[in-house]
Amino acid sequence: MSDVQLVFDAVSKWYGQVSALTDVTLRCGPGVTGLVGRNGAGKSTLIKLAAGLLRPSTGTVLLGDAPPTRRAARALLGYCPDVDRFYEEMSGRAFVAWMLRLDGLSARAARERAGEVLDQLGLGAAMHRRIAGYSKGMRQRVKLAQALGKRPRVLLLDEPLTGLDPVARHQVTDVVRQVGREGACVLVSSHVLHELENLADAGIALVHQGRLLAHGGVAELRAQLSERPHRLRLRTTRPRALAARLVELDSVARVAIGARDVEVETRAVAGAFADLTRLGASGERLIDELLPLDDDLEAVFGYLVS
Amino acid sequence: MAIFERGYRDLAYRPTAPFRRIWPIARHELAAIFRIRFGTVIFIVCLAPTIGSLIFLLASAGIWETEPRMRERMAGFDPSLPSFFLRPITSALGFLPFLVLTTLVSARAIAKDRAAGALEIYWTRAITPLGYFVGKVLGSFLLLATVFVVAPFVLWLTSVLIAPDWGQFEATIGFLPGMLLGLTVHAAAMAALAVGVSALASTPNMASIAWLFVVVGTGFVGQVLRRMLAEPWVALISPWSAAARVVDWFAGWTPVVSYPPAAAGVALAAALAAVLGLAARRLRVLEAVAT
Repeated sequence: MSDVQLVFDAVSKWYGQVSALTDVTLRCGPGVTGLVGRNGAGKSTLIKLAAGLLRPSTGTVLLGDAPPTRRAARALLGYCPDVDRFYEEMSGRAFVAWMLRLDGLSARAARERAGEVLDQLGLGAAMHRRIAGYSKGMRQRVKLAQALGKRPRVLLLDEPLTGLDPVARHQVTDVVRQVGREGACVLVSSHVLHELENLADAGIALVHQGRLLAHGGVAELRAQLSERPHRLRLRTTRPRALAARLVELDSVARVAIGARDVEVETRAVAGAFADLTRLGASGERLIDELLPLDDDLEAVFGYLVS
Repeated sequence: MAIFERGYRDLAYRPTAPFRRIWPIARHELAAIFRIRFGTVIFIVCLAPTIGSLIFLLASAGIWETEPRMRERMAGFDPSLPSFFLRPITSALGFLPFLVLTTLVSARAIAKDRAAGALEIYWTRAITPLGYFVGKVLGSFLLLATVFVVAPFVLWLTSVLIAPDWGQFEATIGFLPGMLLGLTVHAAAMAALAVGVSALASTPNMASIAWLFVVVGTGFVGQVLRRMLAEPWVALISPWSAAARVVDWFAGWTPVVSYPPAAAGVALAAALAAVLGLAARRLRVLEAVAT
């Protein structure tokens, strides 16, 4: 089976006067590509463009050789939207089987495949229960199952991990990663960077205010982050003594003393971690705990935007 | 660098014919009334006018033959006339069940999918917006046809079976095909209109209100204008009145208050064209999701 690529070429999208995406160029091949951004960053718009549900205002979206609005391109597609309020009265299996019948599977084949994929996602025992009685995580998995059911070559998942408990998250992550490893093109969105760190083996695209800020492997992005100023909180029983030692370090730019902790702004986080490790390992036992304060998406964005 | 396998395989299946993809949608729609609270009760109540006629038919078995004067006095209740079968459907008595069924089911069919975000999932599957719409109309039509076509047919069949001879059959077989055809056209047109209105609205409640305006509002306005202008045909701005007149015409029956059947046909076709044209625009893939 040949690989199918999903290509965004200089894509912009406006809703009237509001710009949702600006000049996004992105190429997704086999494997899982993570799409990360805050709520309203343009992730869902990007995924809807890929699904052929929206047309770009300018630029081109190609799914394989054709725009995703074409039927041939759509046949390659599995789409898991972010909403989950449909058909509460159906059982999980009935819903997935029903969706697969709309893809052209016979009633029997659809039922069998629905059972198989729900089982794979850990819903085997609950698949005959009504969706109305499902938890948020179970609904998410049903939604994912309908997208995975026909084994699409391109899988678009809009916030698929939202609301999942750790066990379900593990199951879903495993299935999605496996699909990507087998060679399908998977685009997964999330507003939480670390959700995608272990999943997105083909790279992460960071979207902010409709612009693509960065695209690359997790390691590449991390390397960039380690070169920037970073804030840390150090828990200690002797904040003044710790602060006195910290100001002597070249890697520390600023120190703020609290009642039971010290906040540190570093010049480069890699050097600071090495210095703090040495300080913590010294006999004075000045540091009880070290908490990175901006190792989240907000901080990444802050860095990239600036 | 991640290394990807080449083991991913499409699911092996021979796609079913387009109609078979529409059928699950139709079946889902057909069963929609039974999924709402008290749906079964509502459905049975909607059959009440026909059930009433059936009881009347069974209770009065033989009266028409033994008491010829009864036929003159109660012409509307004579089972050898089309009016007996059409009264539970196209009169005010039949309007209420029609209104209940279409408002609760047909007029909400697409609006509820739109509100739930389900259209997005449909549009990424091997079904076109037209196929989806046809599926919804078909399901809605089958539901309406159960009450407004099958039930009158059962009523007719009962009248033939309980008659002492072939007289009832001979008296009614002439108008039966036309009547059933008319009722089928009526159910299909109304299903298409209601589902079309549903496609225009953003929420199920808005769709129900819009539908009530289309059938009740236009009926009221039509009657007021008819009296003001003294022109009977003005009442045909109501699709319900137009469709009812079309049924009467198919059955070869002319009610007391009547409108030209051609005008009724044109009015019904115009209403359908307007609503379906707007619905087609609103259901385009890119329109349905962007807003």
